Amino acid sequence: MNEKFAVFWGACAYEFKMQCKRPTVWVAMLLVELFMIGIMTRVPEFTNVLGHLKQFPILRVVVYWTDLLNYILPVAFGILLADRLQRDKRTRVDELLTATPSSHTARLYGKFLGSSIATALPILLLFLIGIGIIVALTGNIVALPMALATFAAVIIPGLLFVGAFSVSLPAFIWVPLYQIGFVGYWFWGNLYQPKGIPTLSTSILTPAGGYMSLGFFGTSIFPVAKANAIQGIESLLVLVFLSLLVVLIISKLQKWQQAKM
Amino acid sequence: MDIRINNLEKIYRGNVHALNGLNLEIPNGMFGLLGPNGAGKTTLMRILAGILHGTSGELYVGEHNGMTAAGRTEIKRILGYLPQDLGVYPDLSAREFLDYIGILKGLNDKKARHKRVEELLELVALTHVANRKLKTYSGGMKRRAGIAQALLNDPKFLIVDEPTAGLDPEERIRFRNLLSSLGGNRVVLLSTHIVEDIAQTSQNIAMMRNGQVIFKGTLTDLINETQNKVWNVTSAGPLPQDNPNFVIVSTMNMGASMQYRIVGTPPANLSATPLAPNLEDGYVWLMHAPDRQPTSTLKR
Repeated sequence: MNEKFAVFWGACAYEFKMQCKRPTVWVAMLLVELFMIGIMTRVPEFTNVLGHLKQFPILRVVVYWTDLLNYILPVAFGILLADRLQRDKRTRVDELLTATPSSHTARLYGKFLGSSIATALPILLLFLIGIGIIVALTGNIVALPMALATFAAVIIPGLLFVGAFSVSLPAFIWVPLYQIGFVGYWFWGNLYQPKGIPTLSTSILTPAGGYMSLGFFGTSIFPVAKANAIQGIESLLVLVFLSLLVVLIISKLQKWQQAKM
Repeated sequence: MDIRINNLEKIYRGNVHALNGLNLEIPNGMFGLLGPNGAGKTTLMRILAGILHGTSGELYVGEHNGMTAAGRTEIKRILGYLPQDLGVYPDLSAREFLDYIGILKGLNDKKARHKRVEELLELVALTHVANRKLKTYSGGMKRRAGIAQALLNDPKFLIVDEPTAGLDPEERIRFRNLLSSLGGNRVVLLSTHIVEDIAQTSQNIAMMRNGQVIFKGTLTDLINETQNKVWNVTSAGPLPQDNPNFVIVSTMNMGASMQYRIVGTPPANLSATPLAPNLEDGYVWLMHAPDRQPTSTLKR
């Protein structure tokens, strides 16, 4: 096995394991999910969809559920990932890791992917519960393959994007400051179109998934007025590419910083 | 394999000189590096481990040049490192932690890696608690897990920085015995400010002060440096602590008088009896000798 890949895979597996063992991830995500469901039950559109599930096209219901999860949960996702790199410094493990011949970049990619997957597990679990309820209430099994498609196309690219920035950027920003800034960014750059203030929420850079949702599946709850499949693909590729790029850049910056110490 | 350091300098931001043209040659076997806190030991260890980069000078570990990126990577392949502040992932068990570090050290064969982990857990007597989370370990157990991770790749060069600091006497003895057994066919560099650790483990030593090596030799050489300089002095009242002619090593209150063990020239007005020097006397003498010159530049 290629040496760098072995390091990446090892870091990914152990970061996954460590993040899974963290009670905060499960408790915080559960609380946010309960909060989200509590809010949703007060939104007339949601109660309308829930009350008349069989009357709506099944694809619209699945996409609606997918978009709802991607509305708020990535905020918790980003916040929970933001301390992963700083933890190595805090626990002083970074000195030990630096003294190994392993590639720093491979380790950072492994950390990003492993901890992101682990933090996404509670989101996946809630998503599957929702899909299970949809299947049970509509009796339409087609919702399952549709759910796979919407999760992969709408949720995963956004989580990768958020995960990459949240794991990497706190190398240079104080973690609580990043977390506060990230919450602000999420509302400004994804959910709203504030009047007179430029926003990313209508560009393909929005990780909330509006372009994929509207472009691939024809419906979205995000402030994206129009999107076709090509724009959906563009948004998806840009998000994934930027995720990989930011990890690479931060890794190189960290190496440079270390050489200057 | 040996380690050769020539005129090594490390200057931190703010023009803080941590190493000032340090020269040192370290042969195979156990080698003790003594010095007070702030002498530059940990900086030297970190440069040797490839964590910090030297500002200038030469550094060779075997044939590998520690001043280049490629050389540092090669050194890390043959390196075992136990840092002063050992960091662990608190939620991993010792077995998992060792397995992870093994992967990062390039032990890619899963079976061989697992076998090695078990051998080392056995060596450091942690097998029975290997599945317990590291956050439940005592300081001594963490240190043992630390030495196990350092040995995973059967290193030719082992750096152990202040390994017994904060350990209770029993754990300290246990750790020293473990270290002594590791000498074999490798360079083991033991850095400490605890004289007793060196006395129990290393024959060859160096002493650092202000980022320079001020002594290199054997334990006997160090003790010989203080021949005819150690005295037992009895005084009715207390001796001044800051006398430039001598350093007080120990004080004993005898009731009517005070008994001192001093290194240097005893006060002329008091009766002094010569004593046989020990390692601690040698250490104190060298650390306070103002005219002590750093060791000379090595010829390569």
